[in-house]
Amino acid sequence: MNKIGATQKTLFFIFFILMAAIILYSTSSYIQGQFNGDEFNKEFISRDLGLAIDVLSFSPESIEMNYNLTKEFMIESRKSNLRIKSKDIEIAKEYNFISKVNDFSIKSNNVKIKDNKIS
Amino acid sequence: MDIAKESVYWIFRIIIIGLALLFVILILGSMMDYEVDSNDLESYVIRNKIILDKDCLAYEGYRTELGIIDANKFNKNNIASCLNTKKGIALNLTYDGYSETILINEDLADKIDFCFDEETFSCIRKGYNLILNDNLQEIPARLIIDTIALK
Repeated sequence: MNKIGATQKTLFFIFFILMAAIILYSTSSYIQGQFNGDEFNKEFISRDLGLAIDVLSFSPESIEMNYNLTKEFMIESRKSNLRIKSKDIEIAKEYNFISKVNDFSIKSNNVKIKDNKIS
Repeated sequence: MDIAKESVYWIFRIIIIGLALLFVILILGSMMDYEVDSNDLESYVIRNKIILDKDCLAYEGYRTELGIIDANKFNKNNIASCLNTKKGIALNLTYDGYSETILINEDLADKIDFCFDEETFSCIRKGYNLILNDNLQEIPARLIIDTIALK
């Protein structure tokens, strides 16, 4: 085998190793999430926090809420769609707000909502 | 073995491994099947938002009056713009012998006659006795709200 062929083969091998690593990582983190209850937690928090924000949004008086989480989550709202993730690379659990909620993005184990401002 | 043959061999191998992993994930997924059913709660929040939110139907005088709805706000455009939902919603307002109906997300809202099919549709109906403020005139009214969602 000539030198170019050997280089191509090495690159090819590296590419497949990377592909396998990505597939294994995403599969194992998904399965891990299913076993340790992370996926269920995200699903529950997305509905619970989403509904709580919805209820607060139409309160006639000023109201403040502290929403404590058991661990740090990435919580963001884009176009009235709440997304909950615990890591950067994973599928988020979503909730569609009933009210119009401003966009926000936080990474915390505590969400504060006051006068429709979320921090 | 040349590169082309090896590529086909590896691609075939990746497809087999991918299918095997998918199979494992599907089996595990079905074993740990969970569902957070918040349909009743979402319907409850929608109904309360319609009645209590000043952007929907609630009458706003000196302050937002709870239990009083504004006749001028009872139109499709206003209610559609205050709600962001995919559920079908049917509102029926009866007052002084008159009856008006508004449908939001008509594709679902007009399926109210199919609500007997409990496996396909999830329908919730609630009626509220309210005061209708029609240009400062207060009239007793009854508002029936149906929420219809696909299961």
